[in-house]
Amino acid sequence: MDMTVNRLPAPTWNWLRVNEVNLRGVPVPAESQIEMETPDTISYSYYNNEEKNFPTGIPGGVGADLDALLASCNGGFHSWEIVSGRKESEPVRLRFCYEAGKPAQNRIDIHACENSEITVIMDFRGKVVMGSEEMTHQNRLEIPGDSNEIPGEEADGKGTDAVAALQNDFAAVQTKIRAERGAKVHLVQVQKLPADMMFLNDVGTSCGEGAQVETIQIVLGGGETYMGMRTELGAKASALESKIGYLLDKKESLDMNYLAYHTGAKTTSHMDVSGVLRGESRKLFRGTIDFRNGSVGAKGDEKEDVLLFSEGVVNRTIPLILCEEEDVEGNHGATIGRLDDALLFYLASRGIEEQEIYEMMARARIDAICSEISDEKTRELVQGYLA
Amino acid sequence: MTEKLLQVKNLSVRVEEKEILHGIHLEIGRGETHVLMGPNGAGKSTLGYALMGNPSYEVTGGKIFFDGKDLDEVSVAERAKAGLFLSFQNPLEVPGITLSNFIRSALEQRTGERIRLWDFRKELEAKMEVLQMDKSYAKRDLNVGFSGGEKKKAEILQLLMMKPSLAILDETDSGLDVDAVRTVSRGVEEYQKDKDGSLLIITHSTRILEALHVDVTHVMVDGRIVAEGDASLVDEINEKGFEQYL
Repeated sequence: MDMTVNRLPAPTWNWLRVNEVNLRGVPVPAESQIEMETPDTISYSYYNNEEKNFPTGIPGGVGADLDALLASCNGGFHSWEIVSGRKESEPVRLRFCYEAGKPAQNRIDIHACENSEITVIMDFRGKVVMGSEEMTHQNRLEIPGDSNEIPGEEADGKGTDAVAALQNDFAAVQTKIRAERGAKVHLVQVQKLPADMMFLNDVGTSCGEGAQVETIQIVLGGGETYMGMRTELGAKASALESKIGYLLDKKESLDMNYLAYHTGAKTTSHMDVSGVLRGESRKLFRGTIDFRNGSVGAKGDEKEDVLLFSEGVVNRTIPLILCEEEDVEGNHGATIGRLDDALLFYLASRGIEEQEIYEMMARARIDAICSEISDEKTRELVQGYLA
Repeated sequence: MTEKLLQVKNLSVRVEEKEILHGIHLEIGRGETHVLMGPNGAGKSTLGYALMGNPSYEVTGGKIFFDGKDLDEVSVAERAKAGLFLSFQNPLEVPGITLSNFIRSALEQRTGERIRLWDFRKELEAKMEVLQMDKSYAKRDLNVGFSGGEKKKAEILQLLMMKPSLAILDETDSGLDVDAVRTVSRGVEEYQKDKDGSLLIITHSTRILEALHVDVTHVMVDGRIVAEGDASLVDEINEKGFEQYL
C-alpha cells in the first residue's frame, strides 16, 4: 500500500520537500516474534484484535497511515502494565530480530498507573542466519531512480518520496505509552538494522498530571528509518525528555518527526538530537513544540548537534515552535558542522590520526547519550554495536 | 658533546599573510632544558605551533630536524608519535571523551598496541597523585568544566603518561596561582628526572622555573632570537625585564 508518514503539523513551502514522506508499495507486514523479559512486578498480556482495542486514540508521530496499516494486519498487541505506586528498577527487555524477506510488525502498549515507574528497553536488530552471510542484507537497496539527489525530488512537490519495493525488508513498530498521574516511564530503544531495511518506529505518549516520560533512542544502522514521536502533555506539570543519537553512513537515511503538544499548565518538553552523518547519508529532523491554549507557564526546547563527516551528506532540520498561549517559553538551537581545526590540531598533537579523531568524536556523541541509560546491559550492548 | 635532538635552521613562519618568525636558529640536546622568554606577541607560541606542525602556521623558509629527521611534510600526529609534545596554553574541551580514555587511546595510537587497563590505571593514578589531581578527573570529559589550573594539570598529566622525548610547554604557568604553579612545576620536574626528556619552556614569567634546572635561555623579540645565555639570564630578565632587548 501507499502511505504518507512524518507529516509536519504546519506545512512549510512545498519546494523544500520536507512536509511529509510518501512511501509507495509498502508490504503488509505480519506480526513477528519478540524475545522478552518481564520483571515479576509488571504484568504482561497479549490481546487479539477482538479482545481489546490497541490505544490508537493516542496518536504517534509517524501518522495515521501507520495505524491503518497495522490495523489491517491480523495480529494483536503486547501490553505491559505496572500497578499504582509500584516502582520497578529492573527493565522490561524486548528484542526484535528481523529476518530477511519477512515484512514484520509489532504493537506495544505500556501502561504506567498512578505514581508508578517502569523502564522498557527495546533492541531492534537484524537476525544472523547461521551458515550464511550475516542477514544477507549488507548491500544497499537500490531505489529506482535513486542517486545522490534527495528522494522524491521529481515527485508531487509536497514531500519526499521513497519506494519500499516488495522485495525489500520492512518492519514497523508502534509503541503507545500511557503515563498516569505522577508516573514515570523510561523508554530506551537501540537500533542496529541492516543497510537494506526500511524501518518505521512510531511512539505515541499520553501524560497525566506530573507524569514524566523519558526516552532515549539510538540509531546505529538501518537503510531507511522513519521515526516519529508525539507526546500529549495535557495535564499540569507533565514532562517529556527525549534524547536521540544516531550514526549514519553510506546511503542510510533517517527521517524524524517529533511533536510535543503542550495543553497543560507548567508542562515541559526537551528534545535533544545528536548525531553524525558520513558517506552519502541523509537526515531530516522535524521537531515541533506546540503551545496550545491552557499551557500557561509551559517550557519547551529542542537542541540539535550534527557533525558532518563528508561532502556527500544531506542534513536537514525543521525546528517548529507554534504558540497560542502567551506565558510560555520555547527555544531551539542547532550546532551543525565539521570538526573545528583547532580541535583537530589538539587531538592530532597527541598522536591521534585524523581518521581516528573522527571515529573518536563520532563515538563520543553516542557515548554521551549512552551514558544516560541506567541499564548496564544496554550500555554494553551499544558499546558492542559501536565496536 | 650532547647529541642534538631538535635542530631549527633559519626558520621563518607565516600566519595568514603575516610573517611572524624570521630566521630562527635553535638547537636542543637530549635531556636539556631550554627556556624561551620574551614579551607578549614576540612569536614564542608561534614557534611552538610551528614545531608541532599546526597547518595554520606556514613554514616559509628554513628547516626543522627532529631526531635527525626533516619534519617537512610530516603530519602533526606523526610528529607526536616521533616524540614531540606540545602542552597547550588554552587546552580545548572535548565533550564525550574522558581524560582517561583519551590518554589511553593516544598511547595506543602511538604504540600501535593495546594497553592493559590495570597497568594503565595504576600508572595514571600515580601520576595524578604527583599532580595532586582528584582521581575523579580521569572519568570526566577531557577539559570540560575544568578550571584553568585543572586544565594545565591535565596537560602535564598527558606529558607524564606519554613520555615524549621533547616537550614544549606553552605558557603552562599562565593564569595559575602560586600553589598551582608549584604543583605543575613538580610534574615538570618529574618529567625532567628522566635525563632523556628534553624541554622547551615557553614563558614570559619565571615562576615555573624556580624549581627547575635550566640549561639554556633564549630571548625572543619580534620573531627573532635576540639573546642566549645560561640560567643566569632568567634571573637577569626577572630583575631588569625585556626592555634592554626591545
